[in-house]
Amino acid sequence: MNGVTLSRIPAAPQIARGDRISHMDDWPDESLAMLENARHTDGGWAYFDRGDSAVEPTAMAVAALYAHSRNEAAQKRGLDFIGSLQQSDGAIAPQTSQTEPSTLCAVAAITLAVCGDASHRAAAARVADYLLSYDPATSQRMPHIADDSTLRGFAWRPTTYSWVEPTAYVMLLMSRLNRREHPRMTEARRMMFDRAVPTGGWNYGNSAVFNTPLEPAVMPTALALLALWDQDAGPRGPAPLRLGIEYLMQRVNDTPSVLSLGWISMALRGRGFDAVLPGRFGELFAASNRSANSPWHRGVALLATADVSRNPFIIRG
Amino acid sequence: MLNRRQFLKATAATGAAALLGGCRFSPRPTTTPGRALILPASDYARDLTELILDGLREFPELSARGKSVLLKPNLVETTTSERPINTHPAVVVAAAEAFRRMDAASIVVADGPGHRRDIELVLAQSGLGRALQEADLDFVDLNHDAVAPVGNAGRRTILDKLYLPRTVLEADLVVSLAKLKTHHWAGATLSMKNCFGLMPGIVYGWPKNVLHRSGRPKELSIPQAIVDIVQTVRPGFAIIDGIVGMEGDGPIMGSAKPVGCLVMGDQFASVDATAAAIMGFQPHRIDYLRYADRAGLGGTNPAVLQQRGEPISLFRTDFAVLPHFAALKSA
Repeated sequence: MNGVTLSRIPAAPQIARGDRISHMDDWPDESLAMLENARHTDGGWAYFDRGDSAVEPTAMAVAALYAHSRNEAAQKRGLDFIGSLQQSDGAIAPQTSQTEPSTLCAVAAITLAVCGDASHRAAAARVADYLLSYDPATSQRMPHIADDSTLRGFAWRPTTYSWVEPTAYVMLLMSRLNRREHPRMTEARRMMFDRAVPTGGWNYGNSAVFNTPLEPAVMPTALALLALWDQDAGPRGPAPLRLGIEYLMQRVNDTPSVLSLGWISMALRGRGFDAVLPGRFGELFAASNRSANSPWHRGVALLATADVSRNPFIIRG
Repeated sequence: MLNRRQFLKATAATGAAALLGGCRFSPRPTTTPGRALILPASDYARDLTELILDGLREFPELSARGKSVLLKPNLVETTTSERPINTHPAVVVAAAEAFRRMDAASIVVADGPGHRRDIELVLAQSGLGRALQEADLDFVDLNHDAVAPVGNAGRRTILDKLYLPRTVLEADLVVSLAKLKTHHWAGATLSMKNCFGLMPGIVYGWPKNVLHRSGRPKELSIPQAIVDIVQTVRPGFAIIDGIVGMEGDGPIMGSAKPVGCLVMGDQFASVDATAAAIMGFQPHRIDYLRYADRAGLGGTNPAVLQQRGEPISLFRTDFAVLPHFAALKSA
């Protein structure tokens, strides 16, 4: 079991007794109902309670409904909405108000590949082709940046540098499409290990700048661990994986947001740990109207507590 | 005269503003006029609302009456350490209350952090979330807002248009609530650099790397992008939190530097030049301030600027910098 014992996951805080208990316990049903009600007429969902339909919250909402076996019609309409934003080169624009694509299209394509039908899977494959069609910026190694800037992962936008989160999304997509042996994936794995913060975890994508080690962050660390699902996190495996897991375990109890906690939970569950944490999500939704009204956050929390085998973002060896 | 929203609409229609020819700045102080105000503020516990109101009254042309006001703090990163990375919540809440008392129709606090996608985490760890909740202030995550393209009014980068969040486009008055910090790429991050956070990550990435790599030639373009953003968004007022700044390896990994002042004004380059002078820098040696001076965003020579309130000399202190920015201090 990855060389780290389950008992090292801190216990979730005690929930206060009273009316809030039922509210907090009810959050999964409340979240599923919220997703069904917050759907836009175009079939998509927005990030928050205002805004246009966007592919990432739509992908998360669809994946959450899929993982909880709810509302197949809404799932299909969501997938079709994502497909409607696909461009001739295979890219998908992040939202209706923005035509320039970003690597968030990989998030959408993961959901298309897992939750959709043959046409959706074909659309996901076109996204993969698009993502492999351009080279991100590289440069000669720079003395003031610790990372190997000659390595290519994936960038948020073509022609910019590779960063941890977009690279992780693309690696997950390629795994879902059985294309993880592609040479770009081999290079992406090297890039991910190269960018790990020496003390454990990952941040947006620089481990040290001007000789100062930078701090890790929760979401990039969780995504890196999910993307590197096929790498051994045990004692004989690469140290960044063990250190990343330890970093996330240290953050379980003091992470005060649904989104980050959701990705922590998914990453640890992907590595076999019992980190469902339902009480924490109820507490956090009760504390933040912004999260409570966000289809994105609701979707991530639902995914974090769903059956692992139904979660498009968790792949287990 | 066009108001801010009319201006943005016009540039959206034409797709571009004037293309500036060449950038042959000499590294010398200019004689461009400008103005800025320095107010003493020894700590965050004092009545900052009254202080900021006093400051705003020094700019009688500034009106918030009936306007939708967007307050943009510097909320770049989270940390569990005590490093003063972000605009202090007390300054944000005090500024909101000051604009309320100036009869603003609505006030929203908004930002798009450069490194983090989880705004709830940033709000919680910075302390700003709780402060806003207690003050009954709304917050909008600009990284994931709906967007619209407008013409790039500066055109120092190769970008023809800039995508702006709908919340920014709908605001009548954008106020930059910056932090007095060194910056390991730009030299200093003040009211103008703070405007990077107005740009949506969903378009420009995390960090906003598109804006880093859109120069002529294509490599590093942070100074050019700063001026493009300010010329395009046209924020109306700047308040820099210099009560405790950051020196050394800013904007994230530096050390606290108590200074004890707020720097304010409606001419962004002049406000930033004044703040830079307080940090012990020669403002004309900061690339984006030279560009901004030439672009009409205010003069940058402290010897020429109309300084209101306290003099620079009262607060001038030597901010440590990384070695590659040592020249910022040379006369």
